[in-house]
Amino acid sequence: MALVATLLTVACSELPEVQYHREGFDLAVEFDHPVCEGTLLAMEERVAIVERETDMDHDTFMTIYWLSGNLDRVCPRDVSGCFIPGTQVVASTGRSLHHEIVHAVLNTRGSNPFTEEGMAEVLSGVAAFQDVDERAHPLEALSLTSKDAREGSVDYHRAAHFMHFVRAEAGEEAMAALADAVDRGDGPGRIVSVLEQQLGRAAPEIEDAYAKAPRFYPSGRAEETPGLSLFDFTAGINVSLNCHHEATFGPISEDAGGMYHLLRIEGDAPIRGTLFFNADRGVRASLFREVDPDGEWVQDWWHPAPGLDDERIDLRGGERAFVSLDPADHWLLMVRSGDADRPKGASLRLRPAD
Amino acid sequence: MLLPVLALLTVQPDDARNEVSAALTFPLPRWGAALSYRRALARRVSVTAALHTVVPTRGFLHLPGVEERLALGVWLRRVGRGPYVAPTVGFGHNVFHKVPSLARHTLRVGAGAGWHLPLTSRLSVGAGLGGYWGARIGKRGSVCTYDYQCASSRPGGVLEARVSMGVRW
Repeated sequence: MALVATLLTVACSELPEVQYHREGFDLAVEFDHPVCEGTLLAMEERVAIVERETDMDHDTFMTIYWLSGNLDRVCPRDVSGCFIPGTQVVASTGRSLHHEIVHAVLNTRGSNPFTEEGMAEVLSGVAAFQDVDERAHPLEALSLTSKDAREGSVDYHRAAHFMHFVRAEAGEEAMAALADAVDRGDGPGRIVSVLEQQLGRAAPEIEDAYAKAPRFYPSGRAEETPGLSLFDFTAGINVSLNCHHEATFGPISEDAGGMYHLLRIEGDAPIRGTLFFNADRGVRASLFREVDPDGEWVQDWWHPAPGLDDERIDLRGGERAFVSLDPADHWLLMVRSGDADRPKGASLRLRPAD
Repeated sequence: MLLPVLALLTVQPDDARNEVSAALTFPLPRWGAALSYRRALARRVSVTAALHTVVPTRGFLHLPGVEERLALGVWLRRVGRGPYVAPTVGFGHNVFHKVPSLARHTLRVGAGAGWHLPLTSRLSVGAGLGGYWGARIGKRGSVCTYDYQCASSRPGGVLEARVSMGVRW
């Protein structure tokens, strides 16, 4: 049997070997750049966070394939990531890794895609926008089947926004009750019952309350990682950009490698001052908003994209910039290109305006 | 084509020492099929090698399974006729069909008892009951989150009924 398995593996799969053995998962990557300690720790934390919030415990041990393309080797056709029901096997091109990890912890099986995808989005730290006119009759979406999901009929943004609403209204207990329902493979009727019980309202009242829900729900990343005030920088902050450092994420891209350090800055009050950036060669920084005030975009903590914000501030080592920030949450991203082992660093200091 | 087959089945062998049989199995609450070869070692002792598969639970066809089972049969009268008991040892496997190296394996031991009736000199039918106990081999892997998803390599106890039909020579 082992011989047959080996031959089949060689003939059919051509998948990368496992390179990282971590708490709760094995990780196989299909690129040459190292996966940095912060990225690995974030994946471990994802498992722990979802298990804690949902009370799920399958004695989780995942095999994660971080592939550069052709997911058909593991997944159904034409997807950018997948979790295989009945297993703890996850495959992704990277962007959806945390989403698929949540599926694996929840042991979803496609019996209620709207609930499952909504929970996977929320628990993987995805923020959600949804206008009022896009929110009609969310409970009807609970009837979507796995066939509908394969045909692309599940609106992930809508599912995420509705699950954010449920979580905000009824807390982690609701997430745990829904996780149990998903684990049992409950259909739409049972899911509605769980929602009615958890939210303390009948189905029509749930839809009415949802229509009045906030347009925007943040990612939840703030709860996982306490933010800093920009005034914390007045004393100066030193950052290490070394792949072995626990706060360094990487690779930035599977093709180019590189690594980054991301700080979340809570903007409770306006901030004005001069930001000094000192860094080793090849290190740059960007300061940008978490959410577009016009609601056009929201940053994804797993793949921050400073370019979305036209008002971002970009700095190279030795540069300074005057900052005048509205009271809004910002992110500070420090990026280092290349994978060389030699540690590089950066320091930031803010001199507040008088 | 039919005549030679019927002729073969009605030939009277003096002492059939071999049998190939197909069985429908019911490892409760599932069902499956098995293909076996039995060889008489002595008048009342036989050895059987079987391949056994359990039909996967709906939604988990991507986790096919098979069990290789060896049984040492002790017969009350003679091999292939009447009641028997048979201690068994087996290896059960379930694999993720796209990545067969991701598998779960169990070692299963148990015992079966049953009864065989030669219908003709070539054909026989049988029925039996068995109880088996399995333990996972190796470290916990990433397939088979719940045991019901992978019946062929299910750890713990299993009660199994079976009916079979065989060709002897």
